[in-house]
Amino acid sequence: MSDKKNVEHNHDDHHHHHHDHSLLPEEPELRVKAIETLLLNKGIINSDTVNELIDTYENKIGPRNGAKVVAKAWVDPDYKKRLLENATKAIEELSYTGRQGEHMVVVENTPEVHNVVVCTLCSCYPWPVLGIPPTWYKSDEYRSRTVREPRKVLQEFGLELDLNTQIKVWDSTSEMRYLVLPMRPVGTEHLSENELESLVTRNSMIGTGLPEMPK
Amino acid sequence: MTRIHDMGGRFGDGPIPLKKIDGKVVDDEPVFKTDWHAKAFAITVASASVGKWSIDKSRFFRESLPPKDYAKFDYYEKWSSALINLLVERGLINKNDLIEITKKAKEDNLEVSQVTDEHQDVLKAKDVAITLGRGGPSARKVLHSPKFNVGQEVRTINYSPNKNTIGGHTRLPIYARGKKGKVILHHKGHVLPDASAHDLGDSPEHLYTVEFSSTELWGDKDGNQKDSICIDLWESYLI
Repeated sequence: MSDKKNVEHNHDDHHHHHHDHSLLPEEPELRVKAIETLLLNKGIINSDTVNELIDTYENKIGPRNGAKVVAKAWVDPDYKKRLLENATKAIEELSYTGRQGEHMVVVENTPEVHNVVVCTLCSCYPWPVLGIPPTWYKSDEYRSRTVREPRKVLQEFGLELDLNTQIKVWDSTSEMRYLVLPMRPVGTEHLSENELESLVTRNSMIGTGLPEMPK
Repeated sequence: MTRIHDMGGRFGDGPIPLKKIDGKVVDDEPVFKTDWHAKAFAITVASASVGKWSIDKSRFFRESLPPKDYAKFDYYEKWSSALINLLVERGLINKNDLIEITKKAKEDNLEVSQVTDEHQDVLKAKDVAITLGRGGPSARKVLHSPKFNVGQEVRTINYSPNKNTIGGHTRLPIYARGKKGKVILHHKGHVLPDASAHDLGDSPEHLYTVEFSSTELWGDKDGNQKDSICIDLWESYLI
């Protein structure tokens, strides 16, 4: 009996923690400023670190990393093979590693199969190769609808797929992170790896778009 | 648990919020739309060095926000509110701190004092690149051999899998409960979120990707004969 009481008490206690944020100012900008000030004063965070983190994801880690992976796979069949067999290792060859990309899987688009990535439970996304996800990827609309009606969702992105193409939706429920390897656009045989890289869009690596066509 | 975050397949959400010009999608959003988004992101990532919570625990705190708040908050409001709740739970800050800082905020008096005693585990700017580059791998050794093979038909359990905590964290989406699919990938052992989210250790299990036909999940009317949905699932979610 005492055990049961204890459990209930802990549960109440625990439950209560999920409301503590309501003690803070409601306006989000002021709320974040209050949290930041409190954490700096408590020595839990350091202001140089905050600036360094922002700079890292604004300027160093983003979808151009993923574009380099894709372009390399397009021009180098051995690399493509390694990428499809062990994506984490192959991507590490280009020095993209770590947070939110610890365990990578690359899924290849073909004339028969089109892949698209979502995270219905939160917003899991491969940070080392794509950076911080765009707002639409984190939206309720994308999270709820993509698994049920991927064709309608892709239409909103301007992507009309052949009815004979199979759509595979990858719901990122674990720490595996998915990157789509789009098909190389036709008529790009003469382009260099660098030129190909510039055709690779962020959405083409999520599966909500295609690479650009060469001008 | 079925909370508001478990939204895969629900009805009622409108068009994807995309920027379009002349009907064409334009992908030019800045990484952080506002300064406070950037700050909310960075202080959350930085605090984890001291708070030492698992990614599963931080997800659990975000999805445990009161449903009314979860629905209303934007992404970074969820992050910053869950961060505060985590810090209180960890005992790193207390309610009086929150009441005091709110008073100061309302008086427009938020000043950073001279910090004399930085926490010993505080993330330093010079360590940011190496810390991010290392990340937090979830792969773990599992001693027993996998129960399922690639190519095998499996079925998901039809209840919330969290054995230890009623209504606790889990990664089996409700739309995929009690459904039949096929194992297409085996990822070996990984930390079990259902345990890790509640500070109950890693409890690693074999992790698989299971492919479900669209018609199995949504029925013959709503599903599409051609399409499939691939979901990463831990061994205890499957029978």
